[in-house]
Amino acid sequence: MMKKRSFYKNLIRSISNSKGRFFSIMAIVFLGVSFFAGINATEPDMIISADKYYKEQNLSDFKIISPLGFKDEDLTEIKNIRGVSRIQNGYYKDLFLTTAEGDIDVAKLLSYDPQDFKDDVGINTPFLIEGRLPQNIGEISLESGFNAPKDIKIGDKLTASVPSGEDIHDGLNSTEYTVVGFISSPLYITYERGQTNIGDGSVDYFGYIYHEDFNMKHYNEIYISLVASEDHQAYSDGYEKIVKNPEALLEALGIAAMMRETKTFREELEESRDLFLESKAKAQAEIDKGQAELENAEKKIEQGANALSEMESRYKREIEMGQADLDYGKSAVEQAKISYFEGYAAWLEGYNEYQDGRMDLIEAKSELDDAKIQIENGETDLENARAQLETTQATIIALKEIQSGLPPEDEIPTQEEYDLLIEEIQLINPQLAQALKAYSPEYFDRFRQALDSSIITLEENYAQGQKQVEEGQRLLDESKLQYENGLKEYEAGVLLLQKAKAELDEAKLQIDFAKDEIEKGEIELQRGAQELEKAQAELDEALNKGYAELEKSREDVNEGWKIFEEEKRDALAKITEAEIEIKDAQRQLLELPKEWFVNTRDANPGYSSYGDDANRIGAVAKVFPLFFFLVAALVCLTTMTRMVEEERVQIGTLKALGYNTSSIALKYLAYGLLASLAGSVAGFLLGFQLFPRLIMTVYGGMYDIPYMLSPVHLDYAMLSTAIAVLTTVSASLWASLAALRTTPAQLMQPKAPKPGKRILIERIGLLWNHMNFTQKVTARNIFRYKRRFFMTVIGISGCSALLLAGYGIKDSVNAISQVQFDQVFLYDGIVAMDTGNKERAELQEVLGTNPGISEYASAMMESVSVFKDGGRQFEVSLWVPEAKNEFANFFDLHERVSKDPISLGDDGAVITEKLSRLFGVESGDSLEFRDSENRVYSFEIAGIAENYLGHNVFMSKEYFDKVTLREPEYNAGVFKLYEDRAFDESGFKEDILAFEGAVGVSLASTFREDFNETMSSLDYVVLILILSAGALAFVVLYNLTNINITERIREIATIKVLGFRSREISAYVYRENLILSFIGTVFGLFLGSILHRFVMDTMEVDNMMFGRIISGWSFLYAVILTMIFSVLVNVLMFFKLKKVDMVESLKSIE
Amino acid sequence: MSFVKLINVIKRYKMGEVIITAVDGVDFEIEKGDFAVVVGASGAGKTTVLNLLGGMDKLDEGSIIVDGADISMYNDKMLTEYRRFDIGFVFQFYNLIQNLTAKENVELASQISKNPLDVEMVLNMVGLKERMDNFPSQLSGGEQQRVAIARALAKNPKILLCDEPTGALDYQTGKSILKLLQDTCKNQGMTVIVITHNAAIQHMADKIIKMKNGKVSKFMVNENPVPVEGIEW
Ligand SMILES: Nc1ncnc2c1ncn2[C@@H]1O[C@H](COP(=O)(O)OP(=O)(O)OP(=O)(O)O)[C@@H](O)[C@H]1O
Ligand SMILES: [Mg+2]
Repeated sequence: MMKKRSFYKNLIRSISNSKGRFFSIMAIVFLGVSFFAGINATEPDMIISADKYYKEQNLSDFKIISPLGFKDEDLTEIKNIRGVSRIQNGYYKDLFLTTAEGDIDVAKLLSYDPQDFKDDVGINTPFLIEGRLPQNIGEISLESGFNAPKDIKIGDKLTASVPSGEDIHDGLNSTEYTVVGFISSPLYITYERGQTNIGDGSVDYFGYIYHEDFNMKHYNEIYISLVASEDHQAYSDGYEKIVKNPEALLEALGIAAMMRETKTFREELEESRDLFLESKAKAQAEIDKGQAELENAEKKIEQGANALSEMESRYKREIEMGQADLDYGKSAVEQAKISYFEGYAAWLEGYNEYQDGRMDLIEAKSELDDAKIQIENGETDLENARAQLETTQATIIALKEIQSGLPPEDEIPTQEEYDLLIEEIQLINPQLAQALKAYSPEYFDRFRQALDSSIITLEENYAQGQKQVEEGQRLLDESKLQYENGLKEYEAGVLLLQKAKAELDEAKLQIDFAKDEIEKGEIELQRGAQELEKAQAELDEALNKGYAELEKSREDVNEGWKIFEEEKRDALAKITEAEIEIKDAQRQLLELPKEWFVNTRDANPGYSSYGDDANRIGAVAKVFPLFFFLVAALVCLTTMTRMVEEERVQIGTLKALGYNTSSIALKYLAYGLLASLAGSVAGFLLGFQLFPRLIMTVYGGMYDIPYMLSPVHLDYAMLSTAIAVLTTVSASLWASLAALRTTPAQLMQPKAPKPGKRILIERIGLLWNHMNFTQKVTARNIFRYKRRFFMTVIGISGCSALLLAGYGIKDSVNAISQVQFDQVFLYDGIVAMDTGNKERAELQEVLGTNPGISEYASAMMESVSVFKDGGRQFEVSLWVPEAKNEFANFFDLHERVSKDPISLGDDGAVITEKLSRLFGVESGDSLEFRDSENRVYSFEIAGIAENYLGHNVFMSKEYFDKVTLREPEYNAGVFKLYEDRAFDESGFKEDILAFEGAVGVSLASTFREDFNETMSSLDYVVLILILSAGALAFVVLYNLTNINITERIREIATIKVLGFRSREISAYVYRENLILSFIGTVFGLFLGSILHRFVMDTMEVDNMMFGRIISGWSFLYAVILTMIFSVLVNVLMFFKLKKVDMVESLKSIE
Repeated sequence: MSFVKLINVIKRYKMGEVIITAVDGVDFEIEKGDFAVVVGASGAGKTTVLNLLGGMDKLDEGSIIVDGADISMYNDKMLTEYRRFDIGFVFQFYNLIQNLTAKENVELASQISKNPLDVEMVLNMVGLKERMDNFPSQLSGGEQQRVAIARALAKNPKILLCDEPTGALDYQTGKSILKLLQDTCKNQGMTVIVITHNAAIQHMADKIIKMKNGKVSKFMVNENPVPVEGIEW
């Protein structure tokens, strides 16, 4: 008992002795838990609140609309779907309501049948705010809030009207309605009221009128409740699940019903379309045929011309070749003539030579003949000489015989004997005989002598003669030989001559032949030349003829083309006509409703965006507060650890006194537990109330949900308390156990001071030597106490990260308005024209004559729902400019990152960036849209443009035509104002609306202001974040600095004793703190950027895109705020520092 | 007029309801260049007197005149200046800054002084020139106390106040520290006031102040102080 009491005493003293610490732990835990629990509770609280509202008002699970109205058979079939608990039929009509003041708005009137709401079972029960619901014809209950006409009150009257050309009694009985009450509806929890096909395309407000005011044949709207929806929370997975089956069934029913309703009409349309298609095809075929024929003819002409020119060139070539041949022949003849003359000359020469030769031969012959005669003469002479010789010889022989017969020498012949001798001599040689006669036989010796002498002489003569004959013979022979040789020569000469003659004759023959040939050649040449000339003439004629023919066929074809063109024009006109008909038929087919519009709650923009917003908060809650919380837990941990360390002497003493470990540890456990538990409980109690309510209030500006439930969420309470208590308690446990493990003696010993150490930068001489003394000390301290370093850096970086994220969110939101209105929407206003009004003024009159307007353009603007594969749909403004190049002055369509301008092409639409992100589509993908007449079209995306606010789809009129098969009806004028001229808004509006058919003016500036106002609620969320972050920053810094100072109290006391002035002491301590804060801040900026990114990605709402860039200012603010907190804490600490008691703290080593 | 003069100094501590008069009318005078010793039982008020003299605490009554100035009239700011320029303090437990080297610890003091002594010279004087780049944790107790003395001396103060400088040291070391103090007093002509429990030390002092129950029980002037070497205890 005693022990316990002293335990409590000790505990209480411990707490009261360190109130600051205890409360700072509490405060940190409180902040962390309240933020964590509160922000986390916001999502469920939002959903619970909405769910309560939905259940109370019995929000329908389905709203189905039939373009052609529901038949009784449809109703029964719907009722029979399994799971459907109740259906409620109704009417709706969009029209204009005019207040007594003359303000015209587009209103959606819904039917109210009190029967439906008997026994509290009605679906989509209006939530009565003031007055009552309509109970009679001519009564209306309007929605409350900022959508409804300004200052309207119960009892006011509204006049209903419809666009010109329609009859209001085509659906309604009354034209004047008295306001009997104000309501809100779970069907419309956001500012969006949906689109319509009248006025500027969007509904301004809704109201309920008595059901009997509608005089339509069929119900056009059905609300359906499911049995199971009562058991499931809105937005829950369970709810999503139960809706699936009925949805599919309803869709199938709708398709079948529409098929049934539109079948015959569809068939007719298809038939006539096919008919026109056929006639178009026929006309086209004819055109094609005529064209083909003409082209064929042209081709043939072309071919003919080609052939002709080919022929021409070929013949020309031939003629040229003939001419060349002719020329060649001529030159050959010339050549032949030359060689003929040469040959002739040669022959003449030869002939002369031959004649000469012949003369020579004749001469030689006569000489030969002479020689023959001489030879013959010589022969005779020789014969004669031979004969004489023979005679001589004979004489000699005879004489010799005589001589030989003569008496021997001394004898003298008798004269008879002498005379016989003389006679004998006489017979032999008279002359001798004569001569001897003279001699008488007395003298016979003389005779002998004479005979001897005569024989001698005769012998001499003979020999002489012999010789002479031989000589003559030899000469003769010689002559004979000569003669024969000459003869032979002569004969050879004759032969030769004859041969030469023959050759000459031959040559002559040849020459003569050549001459003939030449003559013949000349004749031929002449003939050739004549032929050539003729051929040329013929060719020329033929060519001329060919060309003339070609020319003619050309003319024919041209004529044919002319005719064809005319025919074609007619045919084309026919085709265009057919095409228009086809398009018309197709358009009507396309526009034929194919199904009911089965809308789950998701199709209700308020419902789904509320769910998304809650989700988003939930997503933010997953990181932001956790981060926050972790920083807080970290600081608790440090603080507790520090506390145990400070009290080590006390622990040692207690231990020495015999307290056991657990009872000592218990104190610290209890301390930590108490502080964290108290902080936690206070934290979640406040957090569960503060944050959800704060945020719901902020969102209350956007959503009309009358409940704001903020129960205690046990799970988050437990979770956050558990984390907080666990970190704190386990920190104290860990620290105290660590202390308790050592012996009491050690504990009571002063804890060995942490030894000094050199730090890394001391080794960088250049840097270190340039630092002054205090800088060195600071540097060493910073790097020496690593734990302190990290704790401070992490703590401070957490704070500055939170601050930066907070400011970054603001930037991202602000970027919307700035970029949107300064860089994307360049226009200053839009005028809506009633295209149904036949008398409406031209845009030129409405805008062109206004002195305030600098430029304007005409466009079609329509509110459409865009969706993909039947998924979620988004309300989008569809723009079709009349002149697409002008349009760029009003809407700057460009790619966000590259700033490349995007132009409107003929093969796709430009959509805004957020839309592309929501559907996850890019260029080349396609989407569908449903226009205000419930017609559904599919279109392709050609570009994605920077845009932050709302969604737009831009199409060129050509593409719009391609998609819808319709011409756009230009129902809007966008305009710019002179910037430097004074602008009177109400006067301006009045001027414009005074024109016939001008139904509305909206100004970009108003839009901008409205937007900024809406966004101011987000500003509050940001403010909450910044304040929380600031509070955390402050507490964290306070704690860390506190620890820092406590840890160093001795050191501070020492330098105080040394005579350091207060400022110097603070500088000594704070320089470190500031540097650590700075490092933490810089680190925090990185962290903050990441945090911001994440928060933006999760927080973004559907109908806008946030910027992603944090401005330099925000960085600056985050830094400055962190630093301010840091300085503020340090200023607070200044007094603590001043109070440090030198005497006390130096008394002993503790 | 004496260099240091305490006139009827009274210091009271309030402990809740109880008022403890730690110093109860102390008077004494010390001349410039004196080596004074304060002795007395535990709780006698020695430390309190020294703290008052050192400008670390304010007195409740009486006045303390140092070099002609009455510091009892000083406000906090003036006291800081007084400590800064006139006082050197040596603590029983050294109170060096762990994170600074011996030299840096001395520099810490010298850099705020008007006419500091050269840091290395002072360290040389206390015989620690070789160890000046060591951190306190690398030095023995005696060495640390010498650094503390060097730190006090480097400021070149008018008065050196030492509260049991040898209390945590062994005999020999204590003796060498005392010698250092005595030498400083003699050589530099500095006024040194030392608190001690060691009665033997009296013999080396010029003035001996004995305290009891917050009062000066005996004030003695030692005409023949002995050098510390000659004292045994
Ligand atoms: N800050 C204080 N609060 C209350 N009483 C104190 C304080 N400082 C000193 N005292 C009291 O004043 C008296 C004198 O204390 P002081 O420290 O001067 O004694 P001392 O002579 O230095 O003793 P010791 O030799 O033990 O150091 C003591 O009774 C002490 O209890
Ligand atoms: Mg003492």
